[in-house]
Parts: sequence; C-alpha cells; structure tokens
Amino acid sequence: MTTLISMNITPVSGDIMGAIEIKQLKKDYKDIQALKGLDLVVEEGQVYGFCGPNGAGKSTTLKILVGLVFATGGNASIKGIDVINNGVEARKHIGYLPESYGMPGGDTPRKFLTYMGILSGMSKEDVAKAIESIAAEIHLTENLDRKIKTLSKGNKQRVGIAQAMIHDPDILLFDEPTTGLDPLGRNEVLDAMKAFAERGKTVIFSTHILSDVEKICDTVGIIHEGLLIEQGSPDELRSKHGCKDLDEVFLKVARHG
Amino acid sequence: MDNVNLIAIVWHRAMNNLFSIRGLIALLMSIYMIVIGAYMMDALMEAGTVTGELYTLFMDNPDMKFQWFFFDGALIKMVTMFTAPLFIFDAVSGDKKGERIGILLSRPITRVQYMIINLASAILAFGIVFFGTMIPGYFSIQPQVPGLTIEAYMATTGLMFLLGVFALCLALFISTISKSNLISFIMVFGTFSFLMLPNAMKYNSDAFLALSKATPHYYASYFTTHDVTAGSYIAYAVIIILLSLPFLALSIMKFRNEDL
Repeated sequence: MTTLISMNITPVSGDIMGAIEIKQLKKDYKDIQALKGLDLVVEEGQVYGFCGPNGAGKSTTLKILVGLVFATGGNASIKGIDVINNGVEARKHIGYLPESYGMPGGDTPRKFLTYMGILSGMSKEDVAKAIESIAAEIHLTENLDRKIKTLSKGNKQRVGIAQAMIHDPDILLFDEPTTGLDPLGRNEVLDAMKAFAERGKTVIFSTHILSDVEKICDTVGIIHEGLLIEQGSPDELRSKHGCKDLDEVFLKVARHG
Repeated sequence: MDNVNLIAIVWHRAMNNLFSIRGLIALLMSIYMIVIGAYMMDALMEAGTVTGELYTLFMDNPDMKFQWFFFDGALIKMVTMFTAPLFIFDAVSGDKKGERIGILLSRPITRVQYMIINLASAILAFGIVFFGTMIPGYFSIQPQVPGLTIEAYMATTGLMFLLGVFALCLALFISTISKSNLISFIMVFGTFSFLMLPNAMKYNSDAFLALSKATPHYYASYFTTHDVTAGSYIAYAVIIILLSLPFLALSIMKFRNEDL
C-alpha cells in the first residue's frame, strides 16, 4: 500500500462499490511473482484500459477474475461477488475474450454461439434471438452460417467478441482484443466495446496499443511487475507527466517502474 | 440469469461428437463388431466348440492360442474398449491445446461440472452407437442361437457398455494429465491395447494369465452361453463401476485446482 500512496494512486477503500474490485491480489508461479498485491477498482459503466509491458500481470489478473487461474493471496470481486469463493455466480456477469483462443473450425458461428449461450444458462430460443441481435451489431450476420475455419481473422475475432457478449453480461473482460487486427478490424472491435459501454456496461481490456486506449477509455491503469503503478484518465495522465500522448506516458512510467 | 441446463449441454456436446468423423468411425467399428460377432457365433455354434478353447488361426504359433470367448465376448469388449475412448480421449487435452478452455470455463459452470459434461456426453454418444448396433445385432444372432433370450443378451451387452464407461473414465483421466492430443491418443489406445491383449490371446505363461485375470474386462468375459446368474451380472457391474470411479475422481482432483 505504501507504494500506491507514494505514487499518488487512489488505494481501494472498503466504501467503493466498483464493478470490479481487486484488493492486494497476489499470484506466485513457481519462480515468478506475477502479481505482488494488486489493488484496482473499475467503476460501473467505465471503459478501463489495462496497460503494461509483457509479463506485467495483465492476463493473469483477467484470468483470476474469470477463474482460470487461482490467486495465492488477496481477493477480487465482480459486482460485489467474490470471484475466488463464488466464481460461478460471478461469471454470470462476465463476458471474456482471451488473448488467444480457439473455436471449432468445422462449426458455423451460429452453432458455436448457440453452444456458448447454452453454457451460459440461456434457452435455445433466447440464444437464437441474441445471436441475430449481436451479429447485426458487430457485422457478422452474413457469416453466421459459414464454417468458422473459412472466416478471415477479423471475422473470427467478431465471433470471439460475440461469444463474450451472447449472454448480455454486465462486464466485458477482453485480453488484447485488437492485437493482430488491421486498422479496420481494430476500429470495429473498439466500436463494439464503446457501444457496449454506452449501454451502461463495464469494459476492461488489456492492450499494448495505447492509441486504442486513448480512443475509447475513460480510465487507464498501468501495471508493472505485478503492481498498479499509475492510473487515471488519458487526459490526467498526459498532463500529470507532461507528455503529448499515452505512449510517452507509458514509456516514462514503465522505465521508472 | 438462470442456472445452466446441464442436460441440454450434455445433449449438445454428445450430438457434436456423434455427427463428426469420430462418430462415423465409432459407428463403423460397432457395425463391424456386430456383423463379425454374429458370423462367428454362427460358425462356432455349428462347430460345437463353444464349451472349450478353440485352437485356431494361430496354430502355427505354439506360444499363442485363441480363446473361444474371443469371438463373442472379447471381440465386443475389444471393440468397445477402442470405440468408447474415441469420444473422450481429447476432451480436456483438446480443449487446452485448441485454446478453447478459457472460453468454455468463463461460463457459469464449475470445473467439476465441466468434467461431468465431458464424461456424460461421451457416455451418451457411445451409448447411442453401442446400443444402436447391439440391439439390431440381437435379432441377427438370435435365430442362430434359439436359447439366447433378450434379457440375457441385454444383461451381457449392458456389462460391455459398462466396460465402455470404464474406458471413458480412464481415457478422461489420461486426457486430463496429457499435454497434447497426440500424447493422449497414444496413451489411451496404448493402455487399452495392453489391457486387451491378454484377453484376446494368451501365452503359456502363468504370470501373463494372472495379469489377464486381474484386468477388469475379465469380469465381463462371459457371454450368454455361460451359466451366469443375474446376481453375478450385478456383481460384475458393481466391480466395473468401482474400478471406473477412481479414474473419474482423479481426473477431477487433477483438474479442479489447475491454473489454465
């Protein structure tokens, strides 16, 4: 906590009711301490950009929130629900897109999304409606009945986004959703996240592409070596560090730890 | 949001398994099993050799001889043990390797439920293929073996099906501890090859024969022409289930606390 105060970052207090609350989260792998007591609050309705160098702990944090990785200390909650002890209930509110993921190439998006919907507790009728609605929103309609393996990378990413949104979650957790996409594809993904947030939902996404963060984020958090070392709106961070863009802020903060 | 409908998930996954290349392979193997089984039953009944060991086919090799039940019980068991794992050998390892596991487990299901879904859907898919071929098989065998009642036939094939469930539990465990589909495939089918070997043939070795008797499929090595009481069938069924459950438990224990 001393670290956070000295860096002028608002520590998590018991009063704040965020969509996501993380307190003193720790994760040790065999020889590596991936998270060293991470504190973080994401308010409801925010688009939160989670930045940091490779190995900083971004993906680990998101995976702990989803229940794919088990924390070795601290706690985390989604809408007040403890993700460590009540993961199933917490995951009802989450849509998750991993950094790298596979989908059954022989299936159509419609079939795959139907299965994802059923896995999320939806009836077949509700899934069918949701598929049409989301497909229209993210321009997937004409590819719904083609095999996934025949789709372009951008369209596969659309299917990935659709599976995260199929059950209309309150919170989206996207792990580097724009990596590897062309500018057009990146913009579409950003637009989808923005549209989602405009409906009062919360989005937290990790990325290296800081121009993406500047475009849509309300708040940016920079994580380094398992600790949150900077947080604020893009404007706040730029003016605080006297930089013209977030790339400069990131380099300055990351280099000085 | 409602709780997940596990039955719908199991059904969906089972149908995905069935209507795939592995479903087709399983179906062809089962058809082969029943056709060959019926043919051999017919041939053996006519030859009157069902009461003893049949020295045949491999007579040129003095170390190896076929047992008569290879042609009825063991053939079915063998195909069963190789057919069932097709539906599960890559269940967990495939989801990990194919990077689907993150998406699947981000849903409101527990890891135990995930394992149960894998197992139950494989049992369902295997059951449909197995009984879908075994039941018509009865009507092709029965005219040649008038004493064969549907009850006895179903009891025996029920035991064979349970052997398939045992195979599924073991294969699920192997899939859980494997790093890749290929390793899982080799381990699963290698294990069953080893398990089935002493059942199909035996060397003139007491140790090998003892191993044969120690393996679970031994307990279901009787077919309908044996004088086995209903109570024995239940005992065999219980033994096979008891042998299966530890593998399911080990799979769950391994998987439930694993970082993915």
